[in-house]
Amino acid sequence: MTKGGLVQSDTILQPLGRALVTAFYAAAQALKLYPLENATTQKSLEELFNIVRKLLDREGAVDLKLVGDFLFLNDARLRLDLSDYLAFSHVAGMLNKHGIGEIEFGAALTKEDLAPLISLMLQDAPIAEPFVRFRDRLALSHAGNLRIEPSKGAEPEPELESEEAAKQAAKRTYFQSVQVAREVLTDTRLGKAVNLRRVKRAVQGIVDQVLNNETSIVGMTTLRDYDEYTFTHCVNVCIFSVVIGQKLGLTKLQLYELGLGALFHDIGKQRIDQNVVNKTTGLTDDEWYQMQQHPTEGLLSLFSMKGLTEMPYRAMLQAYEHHMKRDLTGYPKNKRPRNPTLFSRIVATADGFDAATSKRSYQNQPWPPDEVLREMRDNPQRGYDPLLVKAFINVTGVFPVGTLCILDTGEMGLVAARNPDPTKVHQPMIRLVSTALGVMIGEKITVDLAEIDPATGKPLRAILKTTDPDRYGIKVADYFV
Amino acid sequence: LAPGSEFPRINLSGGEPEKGPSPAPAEPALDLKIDLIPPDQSFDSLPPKPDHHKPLHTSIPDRIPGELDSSDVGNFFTSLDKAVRARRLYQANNPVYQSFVATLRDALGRLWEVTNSLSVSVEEHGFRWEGDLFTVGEGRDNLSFLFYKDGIRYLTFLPTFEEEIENFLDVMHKSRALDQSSDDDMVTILWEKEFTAFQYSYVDALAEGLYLPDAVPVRQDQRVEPEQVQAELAGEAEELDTNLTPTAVQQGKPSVAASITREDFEETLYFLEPAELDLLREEVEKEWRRDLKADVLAAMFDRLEDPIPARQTEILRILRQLLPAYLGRGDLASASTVLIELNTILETSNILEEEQAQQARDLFAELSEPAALTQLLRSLEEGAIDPSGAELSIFLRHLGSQSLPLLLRHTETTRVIALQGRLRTAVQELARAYPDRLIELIKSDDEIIATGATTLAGQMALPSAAPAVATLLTRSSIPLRQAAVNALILIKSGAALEALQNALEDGDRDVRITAARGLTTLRYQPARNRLQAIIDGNRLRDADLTEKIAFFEAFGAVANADSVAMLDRMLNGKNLLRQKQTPELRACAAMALGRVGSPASRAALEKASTEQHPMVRNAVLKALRQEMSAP
Repeated sequence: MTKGGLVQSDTILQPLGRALVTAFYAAAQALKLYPLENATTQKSLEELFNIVRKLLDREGAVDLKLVGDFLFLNDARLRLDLSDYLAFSHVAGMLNKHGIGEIEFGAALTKEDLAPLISLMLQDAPIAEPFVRFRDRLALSHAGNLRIEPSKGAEPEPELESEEAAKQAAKRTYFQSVQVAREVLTDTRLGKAVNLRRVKRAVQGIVDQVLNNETSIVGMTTLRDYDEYTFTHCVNVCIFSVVIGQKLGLTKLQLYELGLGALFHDIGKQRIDQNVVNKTTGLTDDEWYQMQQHPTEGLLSLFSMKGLTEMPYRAMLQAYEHHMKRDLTGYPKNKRPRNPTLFSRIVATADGFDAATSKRSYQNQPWPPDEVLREMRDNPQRGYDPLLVKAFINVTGVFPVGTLCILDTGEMGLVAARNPDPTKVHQPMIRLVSTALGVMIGEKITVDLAEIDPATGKPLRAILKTTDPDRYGIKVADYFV
Repeated sequence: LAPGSEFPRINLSGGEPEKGPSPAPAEPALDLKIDLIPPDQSFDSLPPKPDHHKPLHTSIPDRIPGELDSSDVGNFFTSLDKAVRARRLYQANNPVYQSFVATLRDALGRLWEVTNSLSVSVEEHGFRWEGDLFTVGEGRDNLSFLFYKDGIRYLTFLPTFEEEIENFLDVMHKSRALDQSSDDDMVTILWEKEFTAFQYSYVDALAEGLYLPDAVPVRQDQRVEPEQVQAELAGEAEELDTNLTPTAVQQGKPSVAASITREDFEETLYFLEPAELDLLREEVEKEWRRDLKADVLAAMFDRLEDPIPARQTEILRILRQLLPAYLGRGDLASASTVLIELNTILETSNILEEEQAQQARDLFAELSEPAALTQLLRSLEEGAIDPSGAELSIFLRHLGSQSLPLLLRHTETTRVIALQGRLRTAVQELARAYPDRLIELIKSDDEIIATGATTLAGQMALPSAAPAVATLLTRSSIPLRQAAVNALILIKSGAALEALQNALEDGDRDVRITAARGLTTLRYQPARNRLQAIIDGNRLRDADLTEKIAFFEAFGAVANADSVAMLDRMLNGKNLLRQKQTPELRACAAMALGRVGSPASRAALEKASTEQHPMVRNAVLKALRQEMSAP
């Protein structure tokens, strides 16, 4: 992976970390269902112990930390994927319940140390001082070689500087990709050879960003530029597709292939009369017919693209099939049997979302992102793959990044990120835009809608309504640059 | 960077900044613009240049610092140099190469005894560490230049890199083959390899000339009017009731309108169930197994059927480019799909305009031309491609008749026996479509082609080919006449067997024997007189025993009462000088009688059953046994 130009790798720590969390979850489930001496329980504890031991041997120390809603292992943030997010949320939930911010496993850890720790975590926590109670009870148990620390609570988010750096990196990747998309599409229109190395680097950069810095790069998709719609749309579809692909557990190289096809998905439009493509008023039947040719033109474009040394069959199908619906209506019409590829369906989902939420040539009024998602999910006529839409909502949350919300406090805010806890898809992180009195907020204040008011035990803020930023003269992009 | 601001230039002096000027010759500033570096900082401070005494992104405890010296690093680079060169010369499993890899591993092992990482800067002519320049390879062929030309400026090697050495050497090997037209460069290849103990930083070429917009500060004069917000909320009050958000209800907040629904808070609606997860995983696996090429081809043919001539021409042009690519890879199945689909479209009226139909027909013709076909046959001969017999048949079936001569010639001359069988079957399919062309080829002056065509006509038992085959019996080539006789036997038509009799008097012994045996098998009665004349005459006097047997058996197979009498005379009678025939002829006559199976023939054999001459006696007894066992 690349970070600030320096390529690092945590390909060993990440899988081990995910295995640790999954084993932790499995042991907790076993202890919940069976007595300690049960073979299943013992086996799951054994597995957990083996992973911790492996990490200790490799790393010298094992420090599992909950910061906000992220789990960190030895200061490396563990990435969620489709196969383990339930385990993550469960473990994070247990830690949260007891106010535990950190567990350090000592070098002399034994299997016997783990059972009391997990058993205590499974128990209910008192409302008052849950951490102190937990720590005391752990001390009374026979568990040694473990050190726990309380969660930092409302302390400011750590590493603000690195968060800013991450945002800058995402911004750089985004604009580089837009530039590459511009080059590719222009070169294709002019019949020039495409510099595929630059395309590769751009897509690889997007994959890196999604893997390491998903929130920031997804935030960049709000920077929809009407004048540059063709190019930003390609990049946005690429980003959303890779995000969905990551959720499906695709490997890095598979994500690259998905992203490459997604970046090229609308390349066929370069062979359509640009007056039609950019027309701001409604399309005539003939113009609409022309527009419907762009998937076919995309397929043919990729065949003829100068600069390619291999036939990008998968990308060709992504370009050709991305307007086909589940029931094969849509366009182009099929005469031979066809089952659109998974990648084509992913691109269709990403394309549908970005197109509907963007201001573009023949859509002056974009749809609010949350309504788009609901429409995609609930209206089978739209023809999207329901599972992929579900996976997409898992990534974006119910209220996607960039959605303007009116809160029940009277404040207004933009969705800055989904809640990292997948059970809180409806409670995103909100960047406050204005106070209840209507005063615009200049500094960056991000609130978590899942944050509970200790006095009432209920959320401090809730979304009442999503609304159109144009109505209040708010430029969403300004908050994400 | 703000618009119009100067991009920083990269200082490539190399070496640790705190160690002062590098001893390496001063280099010109690289004219690359990057946005990675804020204008007030030099490149050397960014990206982070790792301190080799400290671990990079690893929790392995520090070892005693300060013991790494130039000779350790030199030793490592020398070993790396040798291993890189060995990789160029040998296959990865070659023991010589493996020994260089082992040496490199040892060198790394020595490094890790004194440090946790080795970081070097990349210069055009070598790798720099602590002011020393280490060259790996010579001139433009040096290893550092491979990194340098693609913008890589720092490398860091970490413990466990030894486990990735071979992968790394493969990358170096591959990157040497890259040129300007390649889809890859060193950065894209390294990205794909996902090294864990090798890190690099590079000048981002994509950032050249890139404008990054700055955040726009919030306008102080701007306000969100609370009344407007309230109005918006109140405007939808009538929609409230069932859509009220749970949180608002719980908190006893005043009822307000909401665009969001209760469903939005039902998080279970958004979870993927285990069965759904399984389904998605299955879909991902299926995605990697599916035949994308077939999907693409189906799309192409769907669109070829659209009545848009310009597009049809483009698709036909693409197909024309695809076919050689498929054939080159031995993908005859895909090539056949193209031909079958095209053929179907051509046979369906009104899909293609005449111009496009002609383009499609031209495609078949081009494929059947010797230039194209020769390449396919050569690939088959060399084993570069190895399609199944069925694939080969399906493909060849769709070629034009002009491909037949070449295919026949190759079928006859190939030295690969397995291929010959597959080709014969495949060419037969094609010949069935063009029997007239096959008959023409039987008469070809090219002996090999004529032989192949004749053999094929025989295999196909093509009656219309008999006259053409018969003409071959007058040709001087023995193999050709032999092939003709074989073909006539297989064709079995009246004309074929009539012609076959002529071969009984062929100038070549083997041809005659084949013809005689063919007539024996076919029991062709009209041949009796001719056979009788040969047997009764002097023709067989000088023939060897095998030929004599062949002719007598053929005669026996078609014999009538008169024939039996003649054979009886030959076996038991004496000539004018009161002498019997030679034992050979008598034995042959006995064998012929054994094939007749009449009372008269049996009587003739029994008369000779007490014969003294062993050859005659054996033949008689054998014939009697044969007759008894006959139905």
